[in-house]
Amino acid sequence: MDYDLSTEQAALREGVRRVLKDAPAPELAGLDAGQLKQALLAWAGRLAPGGFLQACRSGGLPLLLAQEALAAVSPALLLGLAAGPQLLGRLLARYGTPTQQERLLPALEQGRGLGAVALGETGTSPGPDSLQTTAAPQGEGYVLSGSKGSLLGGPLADWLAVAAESPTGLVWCLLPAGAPGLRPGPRTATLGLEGAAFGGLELNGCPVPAEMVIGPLPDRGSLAALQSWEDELLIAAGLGVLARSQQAAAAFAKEHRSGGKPIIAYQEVGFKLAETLTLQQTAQLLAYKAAWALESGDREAGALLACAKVFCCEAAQRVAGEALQVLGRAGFARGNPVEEAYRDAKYLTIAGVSMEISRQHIGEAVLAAY
Amino acid sequence: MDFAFTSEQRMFAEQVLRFAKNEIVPRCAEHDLNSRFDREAFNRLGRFGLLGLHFPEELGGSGADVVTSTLAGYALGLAGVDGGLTLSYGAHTYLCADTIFAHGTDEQRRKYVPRLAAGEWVGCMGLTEPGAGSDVAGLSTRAVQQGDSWVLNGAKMFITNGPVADVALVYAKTDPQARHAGISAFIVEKGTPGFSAGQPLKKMGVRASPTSELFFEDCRIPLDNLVGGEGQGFNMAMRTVEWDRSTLLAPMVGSMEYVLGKCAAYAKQRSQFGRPIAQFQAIKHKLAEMKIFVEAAKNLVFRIAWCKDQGRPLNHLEAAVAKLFVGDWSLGPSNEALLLHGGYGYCHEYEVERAFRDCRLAPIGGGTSEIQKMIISRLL
Repeated sequence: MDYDLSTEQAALREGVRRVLKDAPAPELAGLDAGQLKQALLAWAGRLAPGGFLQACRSGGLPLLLAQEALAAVSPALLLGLAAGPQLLGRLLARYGTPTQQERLLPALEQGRGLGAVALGETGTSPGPDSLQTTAAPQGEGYVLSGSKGSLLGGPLADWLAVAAESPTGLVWCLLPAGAPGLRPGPRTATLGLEGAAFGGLELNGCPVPAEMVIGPLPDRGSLAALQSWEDELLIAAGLGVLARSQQAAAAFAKEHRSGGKPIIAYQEVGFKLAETLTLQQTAQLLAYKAAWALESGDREAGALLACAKVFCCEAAQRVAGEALQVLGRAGFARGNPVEEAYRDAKYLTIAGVSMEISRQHIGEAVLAAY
Repeated sequence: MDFAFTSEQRMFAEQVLRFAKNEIVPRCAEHDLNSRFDREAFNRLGRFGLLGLHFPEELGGSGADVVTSTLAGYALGLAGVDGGLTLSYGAHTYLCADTIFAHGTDEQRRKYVPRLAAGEWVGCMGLTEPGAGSDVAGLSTRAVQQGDSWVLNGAKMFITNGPVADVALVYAKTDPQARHAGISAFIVEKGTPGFSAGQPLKKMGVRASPTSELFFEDCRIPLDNLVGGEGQGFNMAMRTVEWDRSTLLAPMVGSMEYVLGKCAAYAKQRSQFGRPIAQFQAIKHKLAEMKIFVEAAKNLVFRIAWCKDQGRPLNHLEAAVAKLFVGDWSLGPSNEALLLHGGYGYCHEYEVERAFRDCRLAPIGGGTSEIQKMIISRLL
């Protein structure tokens, strides 16, 4: 047992912190797609030399710490940057052919291109339901038809992995932006995370050569794997939201005065901040333990990840709300970290494995253990 | 960062679990229902070595580290030992015996620690008073030096093990003008003239742990019974916080894991609408709430223990976070456990009912949740 971080565990985070120290936090909200892509690639270029993007492929505690540091500045920046290497990158690393890996991974991990994964569809839940998007055999390859719901990073992606049902099983088709028959939908206006572009896809007879197809896969394990990789990312974003909200609220409560003293001196405010700090510290340790468990192959790793997902993301939502309450009218005004955190946090409880399904998974793990 | 216990720690926890399931748990329900301290179970804890685990061998212990000691407490809870016995064990070992071990003279250590570690004597700690709970500096029990004695006058309230204690470690004011710096600690033995315990208080939970008032009326004790020097009492009492936030919280978290197991088993065997209730989403949701609490709380409690093993001064913020989380956030899951059992959960013969009552103490005892929030908000 050791509750201290080793130098190795903290190294990636230190690299991210150095980059953040040298470059001011980017203002991503309000940028159009072209500007946003330029900004994300510039940040990818800054972070790639320290190994951040490459580490997204492997996961673990060092990555979580580094992602937490980035999300504490901007959860949208984290999601915008890491979705490619963490979701598409891991999909390629685990299921892709050497040729596919050689073609796509270097660009994703060196910050030269953005990637996204298209799984979800309007009207169905991936996993239990069959996908509506189909991959019909054509020659050596397939032709894709269907549509995908709003996906993280979709409108900016240079490469996309699209999940589809072929007659012989699930396939992942790797498509470059601008592929024939691939039509990106408009960028979705979202409640929060405005710097992480969301948008849907239309696939109208989109041809995919055989060498750019993963599968047909014998089972649907890749869907569950993808959701758990996304959960890891969302947990890190949750820790960032927690840190951002707590820091801003505590700073405001020490600065803002009422009745001749800082408002933190009032129990209604001070105690609220004590509760939110308790949630933040508890969430951090639980997330760190889940990352450690995944890294060390602990048999409870899956259940711990689900516990961390529920706790961190719900805590982020609650703490952001309480922080906004502490800031009062100042928090309600657009353009401060707490109102951003308040809006951003909602996504974390929805995306990946939802809170409701996560709790079902945890309950099932408990039933299996006893 | 590494969350794994050593193989020795895991093996020891297994031994404690087995011992507690076989030797202690079968006795718990009866003692809880009758609000009776189980002296025999207490003796068994002593014989097994749990009352002095961290003391050196020459004083009757086995020199265990704090993580192992915390794990032992966790295992007691996990085995299904009631919160009353684990509270009595914690107060005896870590609030009374350890304070004498840590601050006493060699003579005091030799006289008291081995007997307390063996369970031959039961110890208690007297700090809280009818008029001074969270505000420790406001206590009014007085100790005045008269010739070759200290003379104590005053009363203590809510004293765990009070009715059965052979040895009381009592905090009293030696300098009423000084607030914290005027507090000193004394050993008072059962039978000392002027020292008495009140009737056991009737409580909602932890009922097998006897609680009472202590009275001191011109209670004369030898000068040698001062522990740790005059005016050192407050610092000594604060030192027990490390134990309180690790070894005393651990059984509560272990107990929640025990309850979780009971709930899972019940959900699998209880059928409604033609299928086990385990198949209903609402039931899995409740199990998830308990599991999340257990996993989250474990990390906080063992962090305090591990830091103490490293010889670090107590991090008051982390200690308060651990206490606040276990105290306040355990109430929801314990409620879910009871509700999962429906009407049966409301009946005494189901352990979830006892656990529900026992865990109501967590946000009150050893520093209320409000005090923890005060500490945290001041440290922010």
